[in-house]
Amino acid sequence: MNFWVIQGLNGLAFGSLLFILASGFSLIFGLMRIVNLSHGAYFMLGAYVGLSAIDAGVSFWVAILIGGLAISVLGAIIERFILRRLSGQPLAQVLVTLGIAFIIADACVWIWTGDPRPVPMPRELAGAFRVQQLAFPIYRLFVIGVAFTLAATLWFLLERSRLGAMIRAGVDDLSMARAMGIRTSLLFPVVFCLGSALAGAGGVLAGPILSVYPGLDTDMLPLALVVVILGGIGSLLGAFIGSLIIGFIYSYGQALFPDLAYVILFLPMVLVLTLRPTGLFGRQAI
Amino acid sequence: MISTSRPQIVLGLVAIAALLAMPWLVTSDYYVNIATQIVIAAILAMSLNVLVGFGGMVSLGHASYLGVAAYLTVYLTAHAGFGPLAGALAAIAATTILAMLFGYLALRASGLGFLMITLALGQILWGIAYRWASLTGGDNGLGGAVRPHPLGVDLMNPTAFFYFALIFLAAAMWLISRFIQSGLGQSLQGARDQPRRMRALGYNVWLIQWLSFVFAGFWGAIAGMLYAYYNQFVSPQTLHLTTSAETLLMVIAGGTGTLFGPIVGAALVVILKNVVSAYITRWLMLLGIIFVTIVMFMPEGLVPGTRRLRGIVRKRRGSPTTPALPVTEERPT
Amino acid sequence: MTVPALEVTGLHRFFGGLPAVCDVSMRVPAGERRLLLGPNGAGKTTLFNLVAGDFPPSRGEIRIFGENVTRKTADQRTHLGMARTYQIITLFAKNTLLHNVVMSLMGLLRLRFNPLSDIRRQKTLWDEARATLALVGLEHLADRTVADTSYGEKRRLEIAMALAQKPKLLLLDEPLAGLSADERRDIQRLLQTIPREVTIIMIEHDMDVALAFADVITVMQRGQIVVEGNRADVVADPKTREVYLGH
Repeated sequence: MNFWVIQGLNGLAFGSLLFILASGFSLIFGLMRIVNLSHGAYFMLGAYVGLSAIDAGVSFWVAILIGGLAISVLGAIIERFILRRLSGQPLAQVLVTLGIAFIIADACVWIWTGDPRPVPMPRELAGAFRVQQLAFPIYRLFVIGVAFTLAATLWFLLERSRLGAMIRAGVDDLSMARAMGIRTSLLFPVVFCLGSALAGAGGVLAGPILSVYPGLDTDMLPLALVVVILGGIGSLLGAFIGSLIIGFIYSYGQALFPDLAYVILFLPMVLVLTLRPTGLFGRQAI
Repeated sequence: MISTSRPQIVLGLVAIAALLAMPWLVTSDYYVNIATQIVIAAILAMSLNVLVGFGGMVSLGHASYLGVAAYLTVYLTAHAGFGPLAGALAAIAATTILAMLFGYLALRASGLGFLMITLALGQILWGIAYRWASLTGGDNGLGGAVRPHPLGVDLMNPTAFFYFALIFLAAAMWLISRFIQSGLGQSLQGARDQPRRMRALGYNVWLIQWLSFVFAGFWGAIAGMLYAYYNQFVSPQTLHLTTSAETLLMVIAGGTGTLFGPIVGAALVVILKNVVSAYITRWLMLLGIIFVTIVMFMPEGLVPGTRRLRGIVRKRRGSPTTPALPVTEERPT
Repeated sequence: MTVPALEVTGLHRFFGGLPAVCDVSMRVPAGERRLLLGPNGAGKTTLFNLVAGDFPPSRGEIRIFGENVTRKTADQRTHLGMARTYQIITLFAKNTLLHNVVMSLMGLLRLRFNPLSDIRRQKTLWDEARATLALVGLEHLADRTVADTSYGEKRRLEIAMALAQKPKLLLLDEPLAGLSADERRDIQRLLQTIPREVTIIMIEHDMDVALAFADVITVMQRGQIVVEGNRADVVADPKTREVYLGH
């Protein structure tokens, strides 16, 4: 019993981190048709930047801000000077983001060396939350809270704000949105920066749980891809449910069949692609 | 579509002659081994080019077939008691079956979706090789003396092994060039250019792409078997995204949709990697920089790029070149 | 009574809630020349795409030569003897005209799945393609790439590719659009040479040519069939006037 509850909460916490990463990835993909293969690298770089900020004496909370901000500036530069030049060439854009991912990954090894580095947990969230015999780290509960708050905020932003209405129109039909006078040249950088910021801040937030290490990027990126394949393109709800599903599968899989945790990841992909290639909540096939 | 032009055939023959003469030109085993690496990489790159160049299907998971076939070859022959021939055949057969499954999954989507699924599937395989340590040796990899002794020839000799690999490259060049001109190959190129029209003409586009995917997977498996023989060792790195990306780089650098461009691309990447790795450890960064540079500044790749240059020099009307990145997304209207 | 070449019943197709084709039922007997008329956006091309199998209908049923093809893919329908041309030209632009026709011929052959045999060596295939090009008067351009031909030549190639498959049911989507008077006359003559047993359904705006060509005319508006009948009836019908004059 304890096992299932604890692993369930672990799955929820991992799924939460995944959602923070995948929601931005999915939004960027849905709106801009850019498969941002740098997204995992943004996540890792954000974590390293946050770590250095903490080493420099800044508090954990400010480090999250710095991580998010740094990556969003990086994202803005990449969007403005590289991706926009390749607009209309989706494949060239993907390959450029892949190249950038490699550059970032190697730069991280260069700067922060190859050793795994744990990000120190904020003191106020250390310790465990106890109910009867169950103990669960408070920090993970906090991460779950952050993800749910983020999901609600993003939902509100997309469904209730003017900006959100424009984004939704763009995801549904970009050329129609343009024809109706929505200035995608303004919308694109906003969404790309938002997605980048989420990845960067998410990396710092994940630091105390996952640590930061070379390869964190290529560990996380495919999971984000799987989440989007499961959930459907540009669907916030899809990213949310997909993240939780993968979080649970990963967590229970690691605990029950540590050898086969990755094999089990095939199952939801096979099922969804066979039965519903649009993803669970997508409207168009990916 | 493509017609193998005379200069291309000449280029191909020159390449083969150069490769055949290689062991006489260089005496050091080091260089013979690099030539062998090029041969193996060329088979892999040519097989990926069937998808990317002729099918317009950009896969970022082609290391899957290299890696799985390599793991299976080492595992079956060195750890499961298979004979060399039986082990190799079983490894290639099993990898081809895997390509059938992956092709089925990846072709549920097209364009970017296809790319995402191949990448995800490939990385899951990497994760399995990395984590399932009891079977794969995990990060330490899996080793074993697996080089066979066909007809009493000792393939431990680098030169002998080079020729052994070269036989497979020649077979690949022959069969893949036939494939490109065959009914299926031409159908594949038609499906790349006008999928909707092809359906209206009676072509089952899905089946054509799937068959081609399996064909490409089969040659990927051949490369994997040779890789296992060459290294007598295989690690998760073989399955990693960076390997898939390097292979894609060979295809793009050599020029997609050209028959022998990937061989040139393979030579460039392998040589560059060996040279760079001898001096610095920043291969990954260089790989990234090359990717960005090629995509931004020479999207037609090197081989078609030089062909175009030659065309300008001769002041001929430039024939329409195949762009290196042929995929646009097909969307229902 | 013989089986009709095409029979659609209660066909609907919605695009995001908007009906492009709405409750269309139509019966085209074998050998008939049918003309589809209607203003832009009346749903004619959508109807063609539904019949050809580009996308499934939201509701309704499609039968070709009596066989229910509603759930069949476009390529399966082609193998039942259907061919079509496109309003917007979709040819293999980098290839020769001859190669385009060969691709059309190969669509019906098992050769299309053969990974070994070089199609350049299939002499009969190329001869047949050349003969088809001669039929539409393009033989002299057989080895030219499509990109280097004129618009009118591309239109003729479209028709050649459809004819190459020797269809029993031919869908022509505005075969005369954008052509000069001379070219129109050529195409018109070409259409008259098509064997009588081939069923033809044509969308066309050029009334003179189209009316002379058609046995039966179907007028569509806002996704629905408004008038259907022979030439004199349709021209005389006040509803036709309404569709075109808006009163």
